[in-house]
Amino acid sequence: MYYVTKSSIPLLLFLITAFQYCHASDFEISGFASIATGKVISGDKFLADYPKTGIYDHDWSYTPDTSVGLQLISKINDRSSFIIQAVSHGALDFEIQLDWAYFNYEINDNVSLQFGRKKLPLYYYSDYFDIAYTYNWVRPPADNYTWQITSYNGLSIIYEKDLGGWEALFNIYTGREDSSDNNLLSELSSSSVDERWKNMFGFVAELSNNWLDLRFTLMQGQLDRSIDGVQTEKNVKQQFAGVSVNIFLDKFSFLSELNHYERSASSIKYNTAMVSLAYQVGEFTPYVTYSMFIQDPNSAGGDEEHYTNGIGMRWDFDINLALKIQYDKNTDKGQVISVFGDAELISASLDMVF
Amino acid sequence: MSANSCFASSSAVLVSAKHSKIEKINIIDIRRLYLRMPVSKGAALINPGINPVINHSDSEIYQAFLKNIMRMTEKGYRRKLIKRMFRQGASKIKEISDKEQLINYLKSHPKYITIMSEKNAALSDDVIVIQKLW
Repeated sequence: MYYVTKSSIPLLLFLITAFQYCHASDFEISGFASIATGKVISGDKFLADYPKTGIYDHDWSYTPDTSVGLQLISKINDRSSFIIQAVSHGALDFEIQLDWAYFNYEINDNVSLQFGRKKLPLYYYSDYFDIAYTYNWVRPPADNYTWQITSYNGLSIIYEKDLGGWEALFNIYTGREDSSDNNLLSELSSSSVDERWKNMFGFVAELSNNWLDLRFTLMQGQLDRSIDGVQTEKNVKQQFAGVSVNIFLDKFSFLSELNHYERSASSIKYNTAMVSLAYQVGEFTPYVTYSMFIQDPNSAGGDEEHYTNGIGMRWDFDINLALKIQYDKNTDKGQVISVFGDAELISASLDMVF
Repeated sequence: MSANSCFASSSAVLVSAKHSKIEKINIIDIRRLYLRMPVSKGAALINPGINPVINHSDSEIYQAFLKNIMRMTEKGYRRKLIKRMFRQGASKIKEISDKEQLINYLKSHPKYITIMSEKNAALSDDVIVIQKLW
């Protein structure tokens, strides 16, 4: 994560310089916010947001899923722009962090290049994971989004093309991310874990028409990890693959996602998946969701396995505003690696974009 | 590609301010404009700096616009716009819910276009019809 700390000063200076250079050109501010609350009604704790370790307990809490973000776009000219997204998350004590900070250049009508800091596009909702207004749930299904690294610094090329009724998008990217005292790994291991994902090469393909939305994703890279200052993994190859199939039929929608992660040298393999059905009735969209995380048991005792059933309702009561209420029941089957045990959660959020 | 006879509703036209010099645009480029995608080179040459406004003052026309031009639901359209905004730094599209404000906005922004019912366009002296859409 890039918090606004001493280590971010060079980046901020660069951004300030870039914006000073762009002061005479178009400049836009947009944003999003989610004000969420919830409490565990059965069990001890509920890990709602893995990357930021947003955890609910028995008391009403407003921090695990609450976020506010501002995006600044400076148009340098018709083809190029500079984008910064500064986000404050309740789960991270509302410290400001830069999730996005990149230069975008449209090479031609179909190809654009991005250079800088972006969200790591592993999952279907990676790019707008924090922008809850864009999906029905209070948050994307947690079992499916168990990523400890969510952004990267590097280069990305996007190719978009209309293919006779289909819109196609292909994205290749490369980069790395250094995460000191990683939120998720440090929380779950009760140690200070430094994580580095490097030499990442990824590919995303999206195909959509007016009722079907398909997405494929692949990423390969290397991992370094230190626990309490002791290096435990170095140059370990890791691979991620995923597929999403979403169907939109007038008022009915079917959303699905299946992902596979593998780090063979550490005998770590797991699959995550989710399906969600929703039916829009006027301003209301009730939905049900099922998600899962299953690790292949290994000799080190890795047996993480959890499932969540959820039901909820989204109410689009005004333009760019949505109110949501959700119930989740998590079953934690891990014997050696148990996250927080079985738990039930009720939560609600007010989501907006502006 | 033609938007004619796609969706039964009031006739709709593409309009701009009366004094603007925007020329006819093909449907694919209108769709790209409303998705904040770069328009074709030809359209960019003929109409440099052209920008869309979403007309929320007429819900029937807006729904027909989603079906006939964007070919997606409102949720799908919003999702695509937000995706482009946050993934590629696309600008927000101006959205106006009041007819008078919409016309005043077009008057003061000659490079902006919007879609309105043929009937409403005919009633206003401040806009010019670029082309009929459906």
